Amino acid sequence: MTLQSVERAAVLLQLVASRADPVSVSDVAAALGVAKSSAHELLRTLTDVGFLAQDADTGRYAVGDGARRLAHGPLDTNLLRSLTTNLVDALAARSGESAYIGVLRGQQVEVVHHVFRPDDTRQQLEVGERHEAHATAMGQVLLALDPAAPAVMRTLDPVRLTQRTLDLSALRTRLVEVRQRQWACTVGERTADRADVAAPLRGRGGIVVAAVGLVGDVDQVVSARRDPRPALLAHVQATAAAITAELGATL
Amino acid sequence: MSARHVVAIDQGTTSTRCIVFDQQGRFVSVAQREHHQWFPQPGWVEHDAAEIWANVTKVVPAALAKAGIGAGDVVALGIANQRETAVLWDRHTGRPQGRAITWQDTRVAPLLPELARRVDDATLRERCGLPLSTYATAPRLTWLLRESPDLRRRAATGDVLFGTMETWLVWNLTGGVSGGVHVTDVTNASRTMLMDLRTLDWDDGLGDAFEVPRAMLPQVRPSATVHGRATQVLPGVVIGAAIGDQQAALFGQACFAPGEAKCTYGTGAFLLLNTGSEPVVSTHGLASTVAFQADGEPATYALEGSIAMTGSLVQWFRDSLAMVRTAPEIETLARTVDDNGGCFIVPAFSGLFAPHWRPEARGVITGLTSYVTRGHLARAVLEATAWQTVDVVEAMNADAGLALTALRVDGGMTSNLLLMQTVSNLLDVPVERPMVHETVSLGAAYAAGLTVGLWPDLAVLRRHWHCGARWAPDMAPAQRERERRGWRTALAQTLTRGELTPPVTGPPAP
Repeated sequence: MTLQSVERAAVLLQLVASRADPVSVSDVAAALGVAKSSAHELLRTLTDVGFLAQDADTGRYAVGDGARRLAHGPLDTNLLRSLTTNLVDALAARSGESAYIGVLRGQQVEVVHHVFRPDDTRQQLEVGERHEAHATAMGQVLLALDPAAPAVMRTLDPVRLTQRTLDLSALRTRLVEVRQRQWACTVGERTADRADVAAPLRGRGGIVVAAVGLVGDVDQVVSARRDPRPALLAHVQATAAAITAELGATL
Repeated sequence: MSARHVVAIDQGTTSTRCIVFDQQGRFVSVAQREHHQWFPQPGWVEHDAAEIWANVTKVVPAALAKAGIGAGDVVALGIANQRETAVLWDRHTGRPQGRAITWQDTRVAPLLPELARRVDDATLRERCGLPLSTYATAPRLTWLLRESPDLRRRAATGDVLFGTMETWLVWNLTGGVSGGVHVTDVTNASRTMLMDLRTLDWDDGLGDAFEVPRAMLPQVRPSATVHGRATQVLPGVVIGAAIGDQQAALFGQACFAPGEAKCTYGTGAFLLLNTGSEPVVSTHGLASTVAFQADGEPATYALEGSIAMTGSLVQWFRDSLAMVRTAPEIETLARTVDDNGGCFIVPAFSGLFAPHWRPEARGVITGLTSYVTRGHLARAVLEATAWQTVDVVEAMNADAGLALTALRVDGGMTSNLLLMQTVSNLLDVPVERPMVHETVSLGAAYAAGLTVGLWPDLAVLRRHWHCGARWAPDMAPAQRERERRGWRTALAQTLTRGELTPPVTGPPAP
């Protein structure tokens, strides 16, 4: 895509947004001074990414939901929780561990959803708690994949929380792995006897918006070789895929 | 995938959902379709029963496909349904006779004074557990059969059949005009105002009073029993349960013992308290209803308090005031402030319901000053749901002679954590959300699974219940009392507006 086509796309969006009625291909060609075939290509591309919507009957174009969402700011985490409740419940029920959704807040990961471990012991709701991102699986997923992560990584000086907490260079190596595997697992990096597994949640356009994961005792979550137990990893990955499908359709 | 799944159909007010559960009672998949809401006149709310049946034939295969299973992997089907909605259809063609009149429809209000002269309120409450109101089904049948002499004649000969939604679905699932079974269950029948709560069968005196011929009524059966075997949609699968949606939620929450209660937060909220093997006649504005009955066992009863506006107040805040874009974002807005700023909202939009029953009341917003922001209003909207819960719980405690020690909650609004904490704070008891919050469907699935022996007894189902989240009270008593005074003051002001606004038609004061 040339810079000129970006400029034309921007003018086109302004044109469509300024009109009371939907516009036709000819309107656009005339207003932009381009051939109808170019106008059509621009319109189709912007419709494919959701910035425009085409009326099925008239074939004319209006502003799409994707463009409106640009004004809404970051994903509302209470909305995220309400959209994912069924699936995170099922993750906790199937894995037998506590299940979480987290988002990146600076160098920390904030818990925005938490479902108790289904063992009927007394537990506390952890929504609103923040943990050092570098020392948790959800945090490492977000540091590897969240669009805000590169800026965070430039100033990150990882605090050592346990003997297993990664230093900056080890963390960078780990994040490369996470990017390749599309999941993260930490063992005793935040709390000595706890391990966690997490995978990314993607909104429209495949952009990572949050992470879903589970946390449990080291023996429960990983094998003797410190790999996540395959069944648990599969549950986390399946949950992430199902939520991503849901978010892609709604957000 | 294990071959032993239970399928639940939740035929609700706005949509029909199908949920697949596995043998441990865990959620596997869901499919859903909304149906059209018809508002032909003010106060009238209708559904097209044929559209709803068509939706059932679509959502069931869709949910099975998502789960990756076939009909052969399903051991039982359970149905939970919107209650009190009346469907009439021709037994020979299977065609609905007009649209279904829903539980929200208030067209029968003008009939109520005349009906009240025929059956006094005390008799009604004693025999069927309900106050005379526009909610129950019986006055709808009175209205329908008075409107059409032709319908009345065909109803008297049993050529036109009546059913609530589960009756309509079971009849169609079991073959419709070719051998469809015409049955209802005790929980749905207990909402019609035509069933004797103790005999669990149609009461001829009530039938006469409401001019409803016995020939059009379905057979009343236990909730969990073999209602038939499906020939459509899930051929060969046993229909093991039919149960009203709120009773299904009570069952899905494993509130099997007297004193256990749940509140389902949706458009409105429904609080049900298990009262054991005897019905409790309310003296505090609540309904008495059948909670559950398994084949060959005595019925369990419940007290019920319904709150008209909870989620619908949030919708009003979103759609009519445009304060938030989506309902869950009200929590984000409410958390921009620390308290309600002295502001209270009482959503008596069409009168005050349980336990007050003041149809002439109108909604108020009190305590407005220039200090109040959108955030304070958002708090007041959420607190209105919590205070209405408190009012119903206090009435229940008084009727049942015991104090609730914990409240189990479910429904869409339980993902609003600020609301759940507020309910706990104002009730001063812990609030618990189960791990499966689709309790309506789960209750229907549990009942169906019990019928076919997938689960041996209630004790096993009780062990399936796990706490997904819990909120403990975290408010000083003095603050709670100060807030309570604010709510009570606002509540009183809803009644002083009566002469300034046109009367509405709703349930009369008991």
